[in-house]
Amino acid sequence: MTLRPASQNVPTAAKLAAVHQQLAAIVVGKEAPLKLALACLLARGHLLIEDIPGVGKSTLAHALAATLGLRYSRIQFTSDLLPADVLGVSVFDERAQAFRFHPGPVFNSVVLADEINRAPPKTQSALLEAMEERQVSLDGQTRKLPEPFFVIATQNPTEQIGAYPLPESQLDRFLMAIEIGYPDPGAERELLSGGDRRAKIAEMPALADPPTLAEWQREAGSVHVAPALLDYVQALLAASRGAGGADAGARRGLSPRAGLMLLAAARAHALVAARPMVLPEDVQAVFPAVAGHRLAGGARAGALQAQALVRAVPLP
Amino acid sequence: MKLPRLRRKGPPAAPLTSTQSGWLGAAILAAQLPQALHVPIWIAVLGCALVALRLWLASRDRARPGASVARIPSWALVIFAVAIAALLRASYGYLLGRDPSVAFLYVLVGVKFLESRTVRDGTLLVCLAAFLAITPFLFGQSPLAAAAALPALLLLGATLAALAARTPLAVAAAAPRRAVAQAGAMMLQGLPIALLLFVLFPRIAGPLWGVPQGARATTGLSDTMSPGMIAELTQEDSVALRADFAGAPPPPAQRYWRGPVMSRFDGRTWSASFVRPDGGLPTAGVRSVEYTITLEPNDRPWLFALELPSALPEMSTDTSPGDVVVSRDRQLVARRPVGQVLRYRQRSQLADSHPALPRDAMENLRLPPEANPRTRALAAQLRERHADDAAYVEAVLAHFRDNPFTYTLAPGTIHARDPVDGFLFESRRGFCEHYASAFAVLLRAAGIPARVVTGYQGGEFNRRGNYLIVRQSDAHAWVEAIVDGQWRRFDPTGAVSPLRIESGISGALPDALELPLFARLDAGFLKDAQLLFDALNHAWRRNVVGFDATRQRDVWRWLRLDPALPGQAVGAIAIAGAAWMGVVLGWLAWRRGRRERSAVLWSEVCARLARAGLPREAHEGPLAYTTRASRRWPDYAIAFGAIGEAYARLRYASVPAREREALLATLKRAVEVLPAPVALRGGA
Amino acid sequence: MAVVSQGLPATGGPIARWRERVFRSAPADRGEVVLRHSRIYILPTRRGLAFIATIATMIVTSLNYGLALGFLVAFALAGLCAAALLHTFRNLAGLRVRPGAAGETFAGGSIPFTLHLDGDGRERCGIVVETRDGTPAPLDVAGDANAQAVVEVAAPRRGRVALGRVTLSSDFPLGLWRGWAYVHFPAEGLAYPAPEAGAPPLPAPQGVSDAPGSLRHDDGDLAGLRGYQHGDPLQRVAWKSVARGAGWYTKAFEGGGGDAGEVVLDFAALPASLDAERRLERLCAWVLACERAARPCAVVLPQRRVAAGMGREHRREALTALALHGLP
Repeated sequence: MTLRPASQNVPTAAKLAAVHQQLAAIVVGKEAPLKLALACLLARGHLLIEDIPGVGKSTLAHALAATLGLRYSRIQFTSDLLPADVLGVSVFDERAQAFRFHPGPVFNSVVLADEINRAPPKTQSALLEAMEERQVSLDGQTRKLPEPFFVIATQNPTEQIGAYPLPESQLDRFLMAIEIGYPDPGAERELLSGGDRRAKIAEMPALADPPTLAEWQREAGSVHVAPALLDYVQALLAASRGAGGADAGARRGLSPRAGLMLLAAARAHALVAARPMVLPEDVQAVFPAVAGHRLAGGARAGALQAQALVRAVPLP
Repeated sequence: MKLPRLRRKGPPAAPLTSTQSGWLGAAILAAQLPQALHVPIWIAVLGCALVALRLWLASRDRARPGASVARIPSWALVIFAVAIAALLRASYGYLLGRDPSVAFLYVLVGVKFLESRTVRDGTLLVCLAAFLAITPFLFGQSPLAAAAALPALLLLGATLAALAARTPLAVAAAAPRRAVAQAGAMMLQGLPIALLLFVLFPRIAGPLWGVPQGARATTGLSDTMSPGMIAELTQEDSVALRADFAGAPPPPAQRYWRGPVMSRFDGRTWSASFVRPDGGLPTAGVRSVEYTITLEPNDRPWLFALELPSALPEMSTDTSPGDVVVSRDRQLVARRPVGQVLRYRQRSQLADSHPALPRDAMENLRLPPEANPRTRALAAQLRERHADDAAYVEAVLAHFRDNPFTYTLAPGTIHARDPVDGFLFESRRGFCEHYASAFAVLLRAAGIPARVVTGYQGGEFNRRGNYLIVRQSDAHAWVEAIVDGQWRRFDPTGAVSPLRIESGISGALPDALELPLFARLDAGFLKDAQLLFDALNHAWRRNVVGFDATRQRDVWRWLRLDPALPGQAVGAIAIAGAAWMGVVLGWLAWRRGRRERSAVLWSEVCARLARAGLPREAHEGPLAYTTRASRRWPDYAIAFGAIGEAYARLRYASVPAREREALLATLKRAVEVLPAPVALRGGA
Repeated sequence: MAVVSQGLPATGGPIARWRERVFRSAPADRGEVVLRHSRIYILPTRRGLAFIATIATMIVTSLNYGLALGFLVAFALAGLCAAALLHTFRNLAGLRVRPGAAGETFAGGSIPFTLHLDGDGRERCGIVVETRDGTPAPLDVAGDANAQAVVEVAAPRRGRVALGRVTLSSDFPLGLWRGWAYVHFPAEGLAYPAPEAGAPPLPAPQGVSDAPGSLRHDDGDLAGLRGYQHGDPLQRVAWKSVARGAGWYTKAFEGGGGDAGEVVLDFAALPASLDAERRLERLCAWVLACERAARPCAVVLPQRRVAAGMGREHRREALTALALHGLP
């Protein structure tokens, strides 16, 4: 049920389809999270995955990086992880008689921050600042991060003892928060019967490169949004703020910035679906992921709340 | 309770913006230009120059935004206006008349524009310019004059929009093209109201106040006839009158349009007798015809009618030259000369004779005693042979027929003292007035009362408009004589040249190159074009310019409205106005709805699927819904896919207009493909 | 305007009901109002009257001189006028109006009320939204977006201020007709007492000997950090953690006498020479002064007590209590 895209998008659509296909071969049976992850990347956002270990988070991140031809690194967050372990460190070089900067794992295009809630807030915020600014300031020097720059952070919702859960205000820095969930039986079967995924990933050809990806991101920003769709987005935002309206429940509702995020994500989702315009379906697909962690009550409860909102707001 | 205020337009003295000034200038110029032809040249130039001056000042102000605005003080303009009034008074000799008033208004608009600063001044100017737009019609109501008023109307509408625009969207709507297009659209929407008012608005008979008629030189028959006068008139191509017949027009030989009747003869020149309004109307008709004459202004008081008028003309009241009487000579004569195009309905009897009044015989026998002795001699000679009046007349006609008389436009020099002698016995070449004159003299000399009648004979039938055109080149002269107590018509020209009567002057004078172009029979394409133009012009005169109280009465009667109760017309206007409102509002809504046909089709699809048991969730998007439907009814998956895709694109994509139509067509076809809900329910 | 029983539902005979329907003198509109033909009135503007008079003059002239074309032009302009009437009507018809947030002010100021206008898919040009206190500039409502009109209503005295009847009008497109409609929402804004100018200094805090202005940090044990909330006094922000980049936290204290250090602003403690309004004005000035000095304050009124606190929410609560003192 794909729509005929506008002519200038044809190569993009075809390539994206190939990317999607290749990823789907690795991340079996996870159509929706895969699409969301791709959309999140195309919308220049960062992704937070709240799920238990072993459902394929790092496989997803690794496959994404490999397929798009991006450099990939993984940081396992632990309670003794220091900011310098993430950002990098300046070491005095005897020979050059100067400090030399050793860039940390964050200087990669796709960064998997595994179990981010295990690290102390200081380290967390070092990463989050880098995510937000897309640069690292150390020793009075500012270093640009590579472009594109995409962080996939994971958080284990069940292990909260001895952990530092991300404060709500920090959650805002992730464009989307998703769950991956257990695979359905068929997919699990395939998973079990298949070979080593890591080896497969190593064999995969890169279907894009950073300039191409930047071009796709630009294209995603220009997907058409009709007035009727804006009406719908506004209705969703208004509903999140409580039907009564003006300022009573405003603090718990979605901010205008969240609205912009939602549109950006929906645009990218439409591009992934090879559509020249955003449909309400796109908004609905990304809404729980975008709005969930911004609504009260944590990402999981928020996502449920967001789904209820989607069902409650009629299309204008 | 405070009444709602009528006006609240921001600050009372909102200044005119330069855009608004530009619109005003354009509208005023458009209103002035058609009028410029009808005012003295210095007025024409001055009025436009004032407007141009203001526009130039405005553009200079725009170029130097910081500088103080160039203004001409109001008092200087007042003095200027007074001076103009004085000059007009000197130029026309009077000031309180139609023409000087129009000229003054023409300049005044320019003066006021030069002085205008606020939007309120702009409103006043719009009103003045609107009035100025109708003044050219005082001088002529041709289709061209109507067309010339159109730009002014459109620009006035656009100017109003510009004056009222105070917000960005409204200002955008008052951008040059959009404003004119919008004004045009609103004019069109208002057209039914305009036409309704035009047809039903009660006209009154006669002017409200005195209308001075401007005298003008016109050509046409005069009240005297001397040799050569009619021949000269036939050189004129211009139209004398047009006649619409209810049925088919009478044959050419019966088309005698009677004009001035001449009873007095001084040996050379025939002249009309005094008008005595004691002529009766025939009671029992031979054969009656009814027709409407559109008479070109001839600056003479007489109205033309075919043969014998059997009723007084039904005048178009608004251009009436006063009461019309039937003279003793059975001629229609008005109180004032016909200075404007005149339409009247007329009934005539196609009879070539009518009863003579008691003193007619006596008055139509006089001949100057010494003039034309040879003619008298011939008359005496013939009279001896034919004692009977009728036989005598026949003998005179035979004389014309049997002798070598020539019908020609160039009769050559004719004896100055006794022109009839000279014509009858020397040149024998003459035009209709020569024959008529000689014939009448011969009859009078024999004691038979006779008189010369001038008028028009024939006329050209314009198939394109089903009417007769009678031109000055159809001017003719013939004779009436009392035989057996009846005035009978005799046409000696017909005796010499029967073709003149049957086919008109061009038939009688086929090689006469001196005839005007349109009087000839075979001018081909040019003539065709001219006839077409004449038909259009005549239709305009008849249906637009000539739409007067009389015609209005007809329309009222046709609509079953009582002309005596104007309230009925007002009621009809009110009812039609309400209907119009509904139609226009409905049309506007429909036009808006038409753009959203896709939404209509989509809701139809939703309704049908709901009846088939698959209602759309309130939040469900088009693709999600049609996908669900495809899963439910796989047979129609393609149709559902097309519907979802087309509707989604129409509603959420930016689609160029051409593609839109195609998508809409696709959507429509796909919807048509779907079976009825019942069938779907059964199939599921 | 002779207000008919403002605030009360229209009762009584049919004439009263008709008047209520026509002039909307009671705040009977709830939620969203859609302007329909029954609400929209249209009369000619001054320009419209001048234009109609011009058309009449043209008709009289045409009658006199028998100018059929003069009639035609005059009637064409009349048709234009009639079409403009419809367009003026259409510009207003279907417009949706919804009351938005009501603002607040100090007595003597004016309260901004927001009205949301929704064009129902059509462009609306030059809509003038006016209250009894003046006419702001006209605004446009774009075809697929909402517009907000902010109207101001003067608040001469403290207390609740009703938005009152609002008139929406427009003379688009030609300025010949003015269409208008009344809407009357029960929206209310709040006017706080005007703060006294040159109010005496704040009363001394209870049970504390410190000079005002220095906030004691050791008035209790540091109980820990809690997440920063909007409105927390800046003096209590855990700056160290902010500097570390750990985020925004506010220090929470406990013990040490609880509310000690707060300024208690007591209505009854003010000199008897001041009447109630003067006292409220002084209290108002003091609440603002506390806010500026970042000192917690409590407000004690005869019928109400606002617990000690700081921040924007607290300030609003205290001022609201002052504004509504003695009012139903």
